[in-house]
Amino acid sequence: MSNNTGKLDRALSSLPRDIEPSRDLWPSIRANLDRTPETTRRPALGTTTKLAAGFVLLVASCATTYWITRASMQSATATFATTDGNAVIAEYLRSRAELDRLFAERIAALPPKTRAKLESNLADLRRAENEIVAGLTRNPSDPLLHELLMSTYQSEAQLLADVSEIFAVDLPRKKS
Amino acid sequence: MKSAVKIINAIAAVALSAAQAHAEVVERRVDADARGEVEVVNVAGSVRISGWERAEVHVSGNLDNGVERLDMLRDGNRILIKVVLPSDRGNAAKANLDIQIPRDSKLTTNTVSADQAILDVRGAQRLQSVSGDIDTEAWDGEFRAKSVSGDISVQGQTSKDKLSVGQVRVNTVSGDITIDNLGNELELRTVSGDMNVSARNLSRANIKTTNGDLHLTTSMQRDASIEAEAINGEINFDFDGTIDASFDIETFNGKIDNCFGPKSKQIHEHGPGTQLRFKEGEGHAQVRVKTLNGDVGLCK
Repeated sequence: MSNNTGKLDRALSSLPRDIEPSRDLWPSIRANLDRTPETTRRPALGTTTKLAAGFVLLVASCATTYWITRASMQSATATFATTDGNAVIAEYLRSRAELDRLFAERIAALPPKTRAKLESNLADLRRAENEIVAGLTRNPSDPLLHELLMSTYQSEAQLLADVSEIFAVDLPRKKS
Repeated sequence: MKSAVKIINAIAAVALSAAQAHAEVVERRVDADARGEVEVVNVAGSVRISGWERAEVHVSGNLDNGVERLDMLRDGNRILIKVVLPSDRGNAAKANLDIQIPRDSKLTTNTVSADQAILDVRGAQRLQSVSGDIDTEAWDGEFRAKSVSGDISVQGQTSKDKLSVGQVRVNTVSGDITIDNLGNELELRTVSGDMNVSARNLSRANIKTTNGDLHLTTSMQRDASIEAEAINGEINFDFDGTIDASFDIETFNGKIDNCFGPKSKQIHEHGPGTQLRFKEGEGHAQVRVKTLNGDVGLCK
């Protein structure tokens, strides 16, 4: 294991700190920006989208780190990955009540059938999370369960973000 | 009984003709860039979009009387077609649109319950729906489709001697995903929709499902990487052509059925977890599958 860590450290330290592009890319980026007018005014990203999208990225990054390190260093890194992942998950769970409230608010304008499907799928994801967590209490060091749990939280955060994004269409509001 | 049915039919016919009488017929035309961008927004009804050779966008259709108006706006090389509804109305009035756009346009759609049918649009596509189905063809451009409960069906249209579409991303919550004749790079996500995918020459696939089943039939490029993950859904692969791949399959409670020969083994002597690792050919490509409860099947 320490041999692997040493190899990884040496490989990382040999990487260049930054890479200069072969030419100045800014003029072409600038030209592209100037060529792209905004026809439709996109709604500003809502709190749900920002929050959920942030978690999608965080969990994805944790899952990637976990997968890469798992492949090269096996069990010793599982502790690191789990701790790192747990922090992200704990943060996500702390914000979940607020996400749920916003989710319910967002889907209120949808047809009842679609709303029911969304609620039932969110419930499916949470059932899956609970089942994996129950599995982890019996098998705390199982790397497959850690990986699936991280991925399921990511799917849940993705669902919440998607619901927000899909509201780019102006849904007719019910008369109060 | 028969007369009751006749009366109901008559009432339905009268109601239908009354509704049609209220529908406004629309027809619009605007010059367009041959490789420009077209965005279509419609809440309910239907959207049919087809590519043509003219540098022009043409819209025809009918709008329910609850629809406020149809906007068709051009800004540079972008054209927006939007069905506008009164903001205070509770029910979504329908608009049925038939749209022709330049074949190489980049297309963006956004609908709620309106179904989308798209033919012969060869530029990049970014399609989104809440409960409406999406039925489209994909060519060589980038492809993205997303829906909540609507089904998504994509037919690849590249020729046999050419690698199929570039990057394809499809995401649903409960809608089913059907993909035929697509390849190169796939990223598929669903919570409970079933996925039936037929691909050619895959180079990379990343597929995740919670409760939906996946059936993937594909051939692989030499250094392909295919990853699939499920919680309760079943994952079944049927491989075409020469197989030169390393397989790494792991499930917590599911079963593994392998037509290639090697048998799976228990990870722990006492406890759940089954693993199957083997090589077919020289093992250049990578196939990696993880499930919690879902069964896994590998065949050729």
